[in-house]
Amino acid sequence: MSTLTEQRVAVGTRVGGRTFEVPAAKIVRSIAVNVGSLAAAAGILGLIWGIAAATVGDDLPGPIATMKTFFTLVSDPFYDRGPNDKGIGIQLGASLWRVFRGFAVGTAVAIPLGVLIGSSEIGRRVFDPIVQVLRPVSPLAWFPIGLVTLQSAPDAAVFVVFITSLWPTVINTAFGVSSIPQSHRNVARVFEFSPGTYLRRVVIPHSLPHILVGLRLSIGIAWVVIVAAEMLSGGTGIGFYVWDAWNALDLQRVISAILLIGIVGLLLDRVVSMIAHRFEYPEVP
Amino acid sequence: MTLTTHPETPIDPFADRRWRETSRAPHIEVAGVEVSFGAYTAITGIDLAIARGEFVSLIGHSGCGKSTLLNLMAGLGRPTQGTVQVEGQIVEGPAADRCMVFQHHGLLPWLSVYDNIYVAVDAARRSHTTDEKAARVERVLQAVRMWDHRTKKPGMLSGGQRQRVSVARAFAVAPSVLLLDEPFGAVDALTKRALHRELVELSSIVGTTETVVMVTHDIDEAIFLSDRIVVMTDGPSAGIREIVDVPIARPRTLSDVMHSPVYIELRDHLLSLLGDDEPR
Ligand SMILES: Nc1ncnc2c1ncn2[C@@H]1O[C@H](COP(=O)(O)OP(=O)(O)OP(=O)(O)O)[C@@H](O)[C@H]1O
Ligand SMILES: [Mg+2]
Repeated sequence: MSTLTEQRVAVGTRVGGRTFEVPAAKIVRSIAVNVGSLAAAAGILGLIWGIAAATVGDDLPGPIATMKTFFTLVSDPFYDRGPNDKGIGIQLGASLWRVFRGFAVGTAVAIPLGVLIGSSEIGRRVFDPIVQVLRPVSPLAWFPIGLVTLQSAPDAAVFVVFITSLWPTVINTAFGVSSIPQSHRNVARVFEFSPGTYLRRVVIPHSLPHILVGLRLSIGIAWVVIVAAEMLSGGTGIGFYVWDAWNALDLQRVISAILLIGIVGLLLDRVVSMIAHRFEYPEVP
Repeated sequence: MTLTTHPETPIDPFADRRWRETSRAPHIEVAGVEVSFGAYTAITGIDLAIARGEFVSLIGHSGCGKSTLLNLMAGLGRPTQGTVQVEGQIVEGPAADRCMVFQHHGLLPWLSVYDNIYVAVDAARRSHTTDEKAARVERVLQAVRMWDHRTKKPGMLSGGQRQRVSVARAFAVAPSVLLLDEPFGAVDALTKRALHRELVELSSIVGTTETVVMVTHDIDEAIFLSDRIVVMTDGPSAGIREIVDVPIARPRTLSDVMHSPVYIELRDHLLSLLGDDEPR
């Protein structure tokens, strides 16, 4: 028995001790490439913007003036001077919190619904038509329904996010669950997997990448939609902030907010994609 | 305790088996079986009795219905007509005691090599303790020389390595009937010999496997490993063309088989059975 243990330890250290070294030159080069291409992108954007501003005239602010406003806004993001004058960080935070709540509830509904549609013929027959009819509807059309049921404009915006984040997750979950290859099912049958083992070792690992694709799409659209919903709901949030700045004819603030919305959206996408990356596995030919 | 492959051992997985004396009742009995997929009849009129401890190969052209027949024995498919019995019981569904090595290995791509086998042993042998199961997984992985690759996912392995893991997994659950669907289909001739040797290793450490049915395209492999070779006709409506006995004494070594006069005769006979079979 002892030889067996010794050997296990020995092999374990060998496998565990293998290090994957990345040469320093490679890192430096990769940073240089990234920074360089980012600078080029910013340069091209700034150029187009500058030309557009020069052509349109004074109404459209140029990049340099706007960047000053942008940094002023970002340098003091959390000030709070009453209901109609809050820092941009607070506005973004309010929007994110709404997206988070709507997305969380949406996901909690969408995944079980997707599993139902993907795994049972009756479930598919009953729920698939509902999904197919409601999915093409612009989520903003649900705003009045949210207002009536929740009796609050900010909550109606959450409701809109909730509806938005349902469809991609439902559809991708259903696809993931229904696309388990026959060969995996056969393995489970031959080796007599219990229902629990089948769920944990086959259904979930196979569906998870698909579910995460759905979640990634959902949170992307939710972030797009919250801006519009907050323009309708008023109060707080980055959407309201854009609307408010437009009413004050302050386009520098509008453009700064657009940039921030884009950056936050990118970060949201990256977070979900990083999570998704953890559940990837190499495809078997 | 540790297992290594000994190249000098006679290459014969079933050397110590005296199946002809063990029992008269067939271990597997296929009677009047037909399988249709809609209007297409894949196999028909199949009668086959396999004794306990026997090694039987199914050989025939691609698409004739070998996998279909093997799936019936595994319980993964149902005959449209006729019956399949194992241990005198009609096969109703799959069971770990009739274990299958799938034509396309059937490993779960998200689990490591180790976990693929552990999960199977864990599910199929629930009464074993965790230590017993772990020891079993280690033994079979050592036997197919995949222990060093145990943390890899199937997608990182070569085709032959995947087949080895798949074979090891089946042995790990110690079934009494082992069903192999072209287990060495994806490997070259050299590797195949090594794999036959690993099959020896596996069957010597897992003494419970009694009866083996193997699908193959390889005439030499069939002669070397089998007690009998079932030659199928081409589909549609494929049947059994002939059942060929392999009267070469066990234990066999590769050179014994290659140099035996029976071998040449068998090989020619099998070639003529398969070669003349023009599709209807
Ligand atoms: N689920 C199915 N539906 C329809 N036809 C099927 C199905 N499964 C198999 N067949 C047909 O039955 C026949 C036999 O298939 P099978 O897979 O058993 O062949 P095989 O002898 O194992 O071939 P190979 O050596 O290429 O693996 C083929 O013509 C195939 O097209
Ligand atoms: Mg086949």
